[in-house]
Amino acid sequence: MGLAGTRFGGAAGAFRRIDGWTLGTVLIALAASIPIVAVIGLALTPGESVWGHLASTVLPLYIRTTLLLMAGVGLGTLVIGAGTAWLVTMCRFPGRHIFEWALLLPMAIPAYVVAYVYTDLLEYAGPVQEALRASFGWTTRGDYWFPEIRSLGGAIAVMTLAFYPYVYLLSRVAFLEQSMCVLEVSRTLGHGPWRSAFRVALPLARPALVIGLSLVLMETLNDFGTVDYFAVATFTAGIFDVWLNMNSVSGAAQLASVLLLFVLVVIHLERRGRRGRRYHHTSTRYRALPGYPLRGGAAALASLACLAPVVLGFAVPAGVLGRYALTHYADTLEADFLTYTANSLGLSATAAVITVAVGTFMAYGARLRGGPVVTAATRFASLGYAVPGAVLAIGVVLPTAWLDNTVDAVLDSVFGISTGLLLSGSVFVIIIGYVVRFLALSFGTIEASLSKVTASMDGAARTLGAGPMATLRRVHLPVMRGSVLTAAILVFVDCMKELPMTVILRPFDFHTLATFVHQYASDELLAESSLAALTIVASGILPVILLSRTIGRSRPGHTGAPDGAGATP
Amino acid sequence: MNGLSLTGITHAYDGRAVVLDASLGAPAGKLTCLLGPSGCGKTTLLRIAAGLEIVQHGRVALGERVLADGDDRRHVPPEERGIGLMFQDHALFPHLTVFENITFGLSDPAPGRLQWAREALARAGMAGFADAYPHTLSGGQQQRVALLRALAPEPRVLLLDEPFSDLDVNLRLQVREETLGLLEETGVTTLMVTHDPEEAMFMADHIAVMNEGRIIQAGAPKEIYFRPADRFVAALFGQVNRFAGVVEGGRVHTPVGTFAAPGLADGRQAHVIVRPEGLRLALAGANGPSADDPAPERNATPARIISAHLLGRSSHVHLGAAGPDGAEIVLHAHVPGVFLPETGALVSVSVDERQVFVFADE
Repeated sequence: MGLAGTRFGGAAGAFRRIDGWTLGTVLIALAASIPIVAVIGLALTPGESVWGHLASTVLPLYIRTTLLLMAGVGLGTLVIGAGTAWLVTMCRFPGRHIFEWALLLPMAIPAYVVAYVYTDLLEYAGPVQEALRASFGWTTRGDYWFPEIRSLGGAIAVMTLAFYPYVYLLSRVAFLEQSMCVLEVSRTLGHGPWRSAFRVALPLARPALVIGLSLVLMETLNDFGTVDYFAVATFTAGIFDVWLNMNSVSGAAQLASVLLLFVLVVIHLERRGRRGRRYHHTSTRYRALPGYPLRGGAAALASLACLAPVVLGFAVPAGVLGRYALTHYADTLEADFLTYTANSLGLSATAAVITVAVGTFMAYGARLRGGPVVTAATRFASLGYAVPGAVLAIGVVLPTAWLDNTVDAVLDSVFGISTGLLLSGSVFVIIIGYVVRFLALSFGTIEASLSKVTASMDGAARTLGAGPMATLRRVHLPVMRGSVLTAAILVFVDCMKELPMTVILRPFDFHTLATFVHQYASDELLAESSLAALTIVASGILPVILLSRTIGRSRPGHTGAPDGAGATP
Repeated sequence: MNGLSLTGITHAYDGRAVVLDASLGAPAGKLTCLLGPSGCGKTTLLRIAAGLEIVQHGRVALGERVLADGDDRRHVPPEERGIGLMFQDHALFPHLTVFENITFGLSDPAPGRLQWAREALARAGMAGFADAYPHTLSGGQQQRVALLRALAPEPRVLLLDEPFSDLDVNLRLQVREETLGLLEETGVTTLMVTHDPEEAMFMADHIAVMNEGRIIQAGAPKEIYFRPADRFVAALFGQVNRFAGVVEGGRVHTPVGTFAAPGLADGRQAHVIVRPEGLRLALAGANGPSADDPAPERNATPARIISAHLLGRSSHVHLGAAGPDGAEIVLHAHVPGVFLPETGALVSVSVDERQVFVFADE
């Protein structure tokens, strides 16, 4: 039986007899869910429990801070992301074509790097306050008021700047995909451009906005570098505190379980958004978007509104790092920068290859065996992306430690050999953590590309004389190739930036670029690590280029049009 | 039989039967049309013939060679059948150029076939598109490429699944003629699925009519049109006038005349179908006989014009006539050329008996 036939309920065939796909997919899902299950399991196990202590002391603070942070970042990213997306998609003003892609640039800089740079600029000894003191003749802290960057408000501002591109990206795609006809209908029914925007375009884009928002919230919950640096008491910061300072793994697991409740809410939000999106295409006709021309003050305001996030979120941090790198690169090199770079590259590349291989297997399994079991398995295996790195890290550490101890005990009792710890504290566990966390990224990307090969294409290949393997080789793989590469790059870059899992899982005295920058910045040595930070930013530019290319081609009806008749007039 | 034959095919999806004991032959070198409404199971039959669907019951054979036998669990995979299939959505490979698409099925590309592909492209007016990618082509061009791709490996049978449904009306007529020309030239045995009776009439040497999983009638186009096996086939070619009546003395009485009911016993309920093109209209009070009907028959029925619409080459007329119980009934008539009388004008309606079909009312 062929690749296509099974989708039409065909009967038994060669593939069905050895159903490696279903088995493999289910096994992967089980393996990927071990960390989450381990965390919950440990949290529920009675024993030396610090839960009562936590609940009576820090828990209310963690909950309040985390909620405030989520609310602030959510609101900020929605306003900036959706607002700029609307401007560049629907209006015409100077610089619009540049802003279309430039607004994605802040994605390249991890939030913690933005936090280090702004702290460096805005703290008491930083250049901004120094300049203020010099020009107004103030001499001490008591002479003037200046906002404290190392605060909840500062964390909200930093994360808003770093994460708004998620909302921008998704709402821009949604606005581009909207049929112009529905907007025109609204105009002919007597609504002006503004009312049309609020009564038709925004409600239609709502599912996309919700997905973007949920991605932002996942990143907010995941963040460790910023909250640690700013000493903002969120759950993630709390988990690290309980584990590393209070030395209580089960306490950390209990906090992590509560954090998972937040994650569940966010996942639910995202799923609802995705379901909603399918039903929000009311018309399949696409026309050029209106491009309301803006003049004078309005045009200047629009340009400014788009310029500000790009400057604050990308140009300033990249500029500061660049200047430091020029003056202090020798310090970074001296601090064994090359080893850290090699560590980062090696780990990220290995994780990317494994993640993409596993993702391809799952996507293909889902296509061949699209039954409820496989679908549920792939869903489950993809949960890692929503789970904060700190939680996953705990979930990886626990089972590997158990495995090491068991192997050691068994071998010791049988052969009298003590193996010690085989996996724990090795780079191997970092890779496991990366794969679990970023599996969804590769699976989703590859699955989307596989859906471009329709069932009748399979059938066409078969009736033209190509067997199942030849169909895979001659049709599926070539069509998927680009997406596999894209998935590999996305995973690679996310691994380069990853901080919380790496901090927990790394072997003693082992650094990646991210952990190195975090440690140096925490010791007020940002300048000395600037070259490393800049390297992370440089790798982060890759997905920005990929994304801006994809989005330009995303408009239905213009898909891949050779004359470049793109999304906008 | 020489050609493709499907015998006693029964097929179900998830316990829901979509094909029921269907037998169908596509004689060698001829074009056979499988005609039926959407969802009648005709595409499933096509997929079974191609081998994309494993047959559950019944047999598929090409000449003497059995390709699939559901009761024998024999199944020759699609790539070994030498049967080409052109998909409704064309299913061109997006990553290959037009030329690479066409030559996809040539396992060991003989220079002759490559040359054929180039010439065929040129004749289709697409010589300049050999290196273009499918997404840059218009619907008509994609259709041509898909057809050439299916023909390139010189299949023994070509299957076409609604090959023209994606095209707009004018283009459809043009592409249809081109396709027919190409198929006649290659002389390939063809089985085509369509829901458009006019298309089937135009293209086919043989038509098999399918409804609800069964083959209802098979025969030459003229036979299907003039000797429909049942009500469904009679009504296949568009809106019809339907009357019910009781057989008396071997005839059925309807508001538009009395017609022979061969094979129906007296007293049986009969169902009479009169095609709109079977009604001939003559304006009452006009001097002499009308142009298209020089000799109106004697049993003409008086009727009143409700509305008349010009369709272009013909006119569609709604008429009011006296029904059996005295209430007015509405008749549909199709008149060639321009026939647009005033609303309320009186006409006399006579009937072309070749367009009248009487069936027992089951």
